[in-house]
Amino acid sequence: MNLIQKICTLLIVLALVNGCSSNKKKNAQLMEETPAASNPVAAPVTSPADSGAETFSTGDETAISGSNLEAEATQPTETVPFPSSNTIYFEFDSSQINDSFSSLVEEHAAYLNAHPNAHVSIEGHADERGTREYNMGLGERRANAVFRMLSLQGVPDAQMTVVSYGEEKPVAFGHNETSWRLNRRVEIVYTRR
Amino acid sequence: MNRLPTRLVTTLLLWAACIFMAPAQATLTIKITQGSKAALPIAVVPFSWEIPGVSRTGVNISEIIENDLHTSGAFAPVEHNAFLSLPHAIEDVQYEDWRILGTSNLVIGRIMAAEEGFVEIRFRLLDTISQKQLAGKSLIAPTSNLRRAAHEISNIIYEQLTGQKGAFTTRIAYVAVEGNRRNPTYKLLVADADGHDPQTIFKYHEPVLSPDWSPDGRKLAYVSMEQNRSEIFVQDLRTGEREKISAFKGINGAPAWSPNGKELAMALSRSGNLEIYIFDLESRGLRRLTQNLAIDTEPVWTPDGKSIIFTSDRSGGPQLYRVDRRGGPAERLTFEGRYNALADISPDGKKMAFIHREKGRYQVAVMDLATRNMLVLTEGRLDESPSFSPNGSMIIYATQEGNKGILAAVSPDGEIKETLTIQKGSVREPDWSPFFQ
Repeated sequence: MNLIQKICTLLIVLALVNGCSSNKKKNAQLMEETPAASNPVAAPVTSPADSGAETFSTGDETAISGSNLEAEATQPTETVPFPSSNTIYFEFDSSQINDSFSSLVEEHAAYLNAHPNAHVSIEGHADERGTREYNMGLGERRANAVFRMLSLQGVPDAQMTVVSYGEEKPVAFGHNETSWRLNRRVEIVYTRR
Repeated sequence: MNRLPTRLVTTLLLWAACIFMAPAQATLTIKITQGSKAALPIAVVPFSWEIPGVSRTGVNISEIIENDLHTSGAFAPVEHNAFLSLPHAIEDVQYEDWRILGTSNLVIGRIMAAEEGFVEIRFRLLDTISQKQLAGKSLIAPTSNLRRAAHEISNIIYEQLTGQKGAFTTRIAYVAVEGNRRNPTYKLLVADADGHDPQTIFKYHEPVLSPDWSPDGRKLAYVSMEQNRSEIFVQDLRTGEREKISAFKGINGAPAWSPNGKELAMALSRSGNLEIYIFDLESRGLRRLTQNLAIDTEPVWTPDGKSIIFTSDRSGGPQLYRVDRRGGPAERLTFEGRYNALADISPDGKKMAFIHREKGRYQVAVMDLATRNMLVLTEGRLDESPSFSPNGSMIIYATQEGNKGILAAVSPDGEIKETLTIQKGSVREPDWSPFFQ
């Protein structure tokens, strides 16, 4: 079920609850006279494409009144945007997260904290120079640094996986610093949002 | 008769040999970029084909022998157009014809009919000065595998004249990356030592790395990322059966068979950072060998099975260390430069080949383990993955040519240099097989 559907379901439930409590007398009257109109709010929000939709004909001309409902969410999902970027770059031979990337990591931490069902794969990489298995270790060191920073900002371990690709998955293929700096990176990949 | 420069004619001969050879799956080029000054002259007379009614197949046995001897670096074949005669049988040999050319070594041979599906190859290695036969043999070889028979003859000649066991019937494992760069296919292959007849052992669209031959030559251990994480597999080359050996949390890398074939050293980061472990293949027990916050990886066994040499950055950057297989303190071996990694040990245990960085260039170096003297052997910028041949005479490694990965070889004294272009796509991670029983 996606987010929109969740909100709609929530609204339906809230509306039903509110409808029942504020219009009890009227509904009760209606129920006695016209049993088929006992769930007045359900019909308008039924999806037209829903083949299971039931249509109700009341045959009763009595007006149904209600009040506007305010949309309410129980989670602050609207206020935490999806992070602006998912890649953190590193200096040669270093696994230190540059200050310029701290706010990006904070964005991910905030998003992950606001979405307990979200999950990330923190993928570490190295440039092509040097030996492959040592570069596996370097990639992992970088990914671990990001993991630790997210962890310190409250993200639970269960929401994160760390993996290293070493130098095996470059995004740039030149044998020069222009390419190497693009490959020295950690990618935060959302396996679940 | 004019004598053209040896190297030019030999190169031309090799090109002709490549075209003349049976269409193999791979395009093959061995290029000798630097030869040994001490190479022994040798004349290999094309063998006679004495099978009536049967046309010669694409496999030219004497040319394979000549190529083997040449690419070993130990021999300088005499150009064919200098030959004054073309003997095939010993009674036809005029020794002065060969002494005139300055060669004391002469190889002649005949290919004759044998039972269905086989040929008989008779060859002789003759000393033109003493006029004596140094070696001679009759081989019955299947027509389906004449290359192997030729390599066996090369081994015999090589051993007779150098005193060293020939490695011409050995094989190499390596990784090839083909196709679209952003979504490539990774293949693990095994080919003859001269690059012929590559066989795909495993392929997938996720990375494969670090192949390592078992000491009996029957299995390969390697790392595959098919599950989007690194895991160690062992594959039986005859049956194709694969067994997943190590899939712990974190990195599972750098498998290395012990000389007795009973254990695998490996690098695992299950404890939080990469450490060296030893996995017992019989008991399936795991034993940890290093303990520190550094990256410890790329283990290799010494041939006596007593120690493991590995890469560690515990001093700040990667260097090579040695530790007893039972554990204990690690002894640092490399002190020159700030990057020394990925060792391979010579079969006699005396030398260590590794990757050494100097002025930003990653090159193959060799160190005498007794004197600790180091010699840089290659001139590339991004050389990797050195592996000794099982007779210790050559080191194969990975390098770059243009934008492509290729394999190259160098002798431990740096004298002989070759490039080996054996596959479309980019090639890397060579590992030289042991001698086969």
